[in-house]
Amino acid sequence: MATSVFIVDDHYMVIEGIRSLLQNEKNIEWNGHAMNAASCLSFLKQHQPDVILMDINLPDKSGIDLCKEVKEQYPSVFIIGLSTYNQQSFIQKMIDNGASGYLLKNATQSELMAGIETVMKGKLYFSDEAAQSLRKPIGDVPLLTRREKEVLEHIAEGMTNNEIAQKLFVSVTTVDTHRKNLLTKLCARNTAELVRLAFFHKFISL
Amino acid sequence: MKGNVIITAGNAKAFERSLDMLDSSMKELQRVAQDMMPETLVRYGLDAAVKDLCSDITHSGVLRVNYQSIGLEDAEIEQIAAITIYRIIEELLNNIIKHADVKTALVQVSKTNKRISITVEDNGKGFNTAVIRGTKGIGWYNIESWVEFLKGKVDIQSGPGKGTSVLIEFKNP
Repeated sequence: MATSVFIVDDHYMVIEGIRSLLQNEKNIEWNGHAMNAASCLSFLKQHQPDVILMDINLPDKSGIDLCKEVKEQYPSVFIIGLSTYNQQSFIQKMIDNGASGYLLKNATQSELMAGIETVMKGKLYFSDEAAQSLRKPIGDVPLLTRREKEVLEHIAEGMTNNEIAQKLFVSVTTVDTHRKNLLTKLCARNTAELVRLAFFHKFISL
Repeated sequence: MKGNVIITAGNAKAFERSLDMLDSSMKELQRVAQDMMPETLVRYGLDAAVKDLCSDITHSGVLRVNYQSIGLEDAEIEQIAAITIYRIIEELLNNIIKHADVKTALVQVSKTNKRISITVEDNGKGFNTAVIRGTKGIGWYNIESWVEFLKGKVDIQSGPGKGTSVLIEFKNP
């Protein structure tokens, strides 16, 4: 069963380029192209392809918004985001809106084919570079800033906000901000739990 | 308007060159506009923009920047304040890259109690805080102007060999 592919992109050369990459593939049926969101949506009213290659930058609407609309109306269509942008936030938003994958425009033919195959199986696909951008920094242990560590030590010593503020030559509001941030970062409900977690993570010692 | 126009070979060349110049002018304009107001900042807000900034720097290999944000999920920050915060972080990170001689840095932006605090720190060379005014560069002057614009305060902890920690706080209007 051939996979029908449709592309939405406002650059004619991109459309032609991808079409020529795919035209010799036996399992791909080329369904045509649209150059803006409006014509993509009107095409979909008549016919739904299996996979849409969707550019993020379209003249009348962002591909990210279009993706959401298409998935809402035609949930069985798989969408692969296509762009020159390697920004993590764009990729993340596209996936949040229902895209099954993301390809940068410098992707190779094999990456393109692998992408189409993978999303047809219902899985997520990212080209290598896109995947790199999504890698989040590792860290179960939250990082504390220098001042947060100072405030934490003083809290563990039993000092009040006022005392800490005087000792560090900062305002009480500042100390309070640090305290609140510490509670949030270490997921503590109150000061007692904060101190226990601080010991646990070895931020302070006996 | 005339339809097909026949022009001389010389004019045709000039025409081509004009088109090329237009193209590069447009590219340059896009680049300047993007620098002035980064697209991610406008579309997705401060958190996403700073996250991307830190991630871009990390991926360039020059410095590994750890970014943490607290309370920015549905923060309503005025665009002018947001771009100012963005610039401050950019400038501080540039300082680290230029002077700190270090591999990692930490950036934290938090919104707590209607106050916004920005922390940028590193474990690098540090500097004598008494001397910052004497530097030739415009960096610190910029940072101080921006903080003044935000009606905030700056607190710098540093010392030779002791790393640097910069904390900026202001009330979110």
